Amino acid sequence: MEAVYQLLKSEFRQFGTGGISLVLALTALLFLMAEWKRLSRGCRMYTAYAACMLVLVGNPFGYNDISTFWMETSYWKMFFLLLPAVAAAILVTELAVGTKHVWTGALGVLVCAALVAVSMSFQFTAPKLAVPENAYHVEHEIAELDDALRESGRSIQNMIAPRAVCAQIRELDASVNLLYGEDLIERMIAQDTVTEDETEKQFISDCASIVAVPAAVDNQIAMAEKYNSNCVILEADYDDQTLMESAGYDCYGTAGSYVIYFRE
Amino acid sequence: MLTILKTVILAFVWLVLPILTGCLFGLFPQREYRKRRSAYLIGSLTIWALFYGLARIALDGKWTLTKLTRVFCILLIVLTILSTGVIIYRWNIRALIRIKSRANLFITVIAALLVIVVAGGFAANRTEEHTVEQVMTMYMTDSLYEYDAMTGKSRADMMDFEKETLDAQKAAPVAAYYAVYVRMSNLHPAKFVRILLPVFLLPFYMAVYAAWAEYLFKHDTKKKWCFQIVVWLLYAVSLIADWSVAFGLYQNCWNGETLFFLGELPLTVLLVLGEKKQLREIEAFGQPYVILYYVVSAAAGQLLYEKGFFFVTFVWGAALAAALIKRWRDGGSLSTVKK
Repeated sequence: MEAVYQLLKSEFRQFGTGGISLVLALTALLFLMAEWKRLSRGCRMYTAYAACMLVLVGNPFGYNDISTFWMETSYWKMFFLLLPAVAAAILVTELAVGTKHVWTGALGVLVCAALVAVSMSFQFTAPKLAVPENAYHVEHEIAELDDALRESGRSIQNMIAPRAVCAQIRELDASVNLLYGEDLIERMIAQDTVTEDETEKQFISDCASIVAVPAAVDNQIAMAEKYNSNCVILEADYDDQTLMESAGYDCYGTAGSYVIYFRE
Repeated sequence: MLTILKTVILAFVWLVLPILTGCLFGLFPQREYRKRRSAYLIGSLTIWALFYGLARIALDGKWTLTKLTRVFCILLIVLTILSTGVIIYRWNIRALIRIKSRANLFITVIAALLVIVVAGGFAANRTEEHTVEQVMTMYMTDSLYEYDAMTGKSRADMMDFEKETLDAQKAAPVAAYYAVYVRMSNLHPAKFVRILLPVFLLPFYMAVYAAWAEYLFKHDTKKKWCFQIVVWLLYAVSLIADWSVAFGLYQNCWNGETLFFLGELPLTVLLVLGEKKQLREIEAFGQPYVILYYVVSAAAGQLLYEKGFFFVTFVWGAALAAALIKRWRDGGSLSTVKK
């Protein structure tokens, strides 16, 4: 029971890591329950629905059944059934509009804003707004690199490249064949790839070594040899032309802060 | 000029055809949600559900993207003809195009433009979001989930864990849905997904929350507006918090998971709750239009998210259980029909 409680707690916490805090949603739900008699019919129906879902999803039996069989690693997403944004928005609306005086309404909104801030204060990061560099919403440097690769006219197999390139190059050109993609990098970081196969384990470990140490050019050459890669992209800061040429790679040129190497 | 024409056709399919399709539900005598907005929402779900059925056949039959696109185009044409016919015979066309309040329309358009500009123009590109790569791969190889979108490897060259990832994507083929439109229009996948899809999908989200506002505060206009403003401000929190695909409405409204959790699931709950003052009676679950609501919401859910079918069934199952308990509490037999 204690273990399930702890697991539920962690799932509960995980829910709010990227958006509306579940603590805020449940506070709103408590408010709605307390104010039940004054609510409109629709709000009452929603409150009854959310309370019912909370009981169904957030109990140890529900956790055991749903997480192990249906939702596997993402049980926390079941809390979306409470529709957290709707709960929080009803609370704010009732507080802001349901008051007799404007100043009490404004105070209500301020209290709600403080509640949002407090419930999520430990997760705030830098704003994620940016003016797009082009119509594709891809970094200009990557677009430049893509142009250079197209100009070369070569068929690219198992390309080894820095993470930023892997993440965006195939949004522009699907003919580029990569040794590892952004999704594998994400899984390597999250360490959630379960495999018993030794070859697969070795492959993941090799890719991790390339991504983790982009400065280790000799390692990239060894991996390119092992996995038959005919194209290596290096960040200009880590470029080692002598070593690359001694390994049989020709420098094709640079694009932004990337250096392109090909091998026949 | 050709690009403009393509965009107009796409806008018809994404914004007008759902309304026409939703009007097909008008054939059911007792159905709920008779407004234009409801027709748009249910019509969107219906088109997604139909595509999901078609995609399952295409994936099992190893169709090419071109073949799927052709069949889907035929389906869309049939839907257009059928729904237009139904509107002419059963609906009042004037009522369908009548604008009740010009002020409301003006405010809605301004709000929509504001949201679209923030979402389409300024939300940073998240490299953790892979829809564009999936669409691009299908479009370039004229295939459906045969290549790993992130590396370009064919199934034969993939390792087992990569095949598992591809199969998981196949279970919710939302990228194939977008790829079909890219094949239709021959627009660049990145431009289609990042520029056009926010324009086509954000009205869906807006309509969902407007429907919720209507449901929660039926006669209080002030509260309705306040509710919608707060919802959109709350979702803007994800612009300054740690990124999560499920909350990224402004950043990636096209992502299947986002569309499911922030769009389709709230709509499904609304359909489950119904329009009446009380919970749906047990008999209501046998009505053809309610069964159809479940079918389209479950199939559309599965199109958008791997576990979508389970979520939707869970919600409808809970509502059915609640209706059974209510009937038992009221002391009636489960087979007794209330007069």
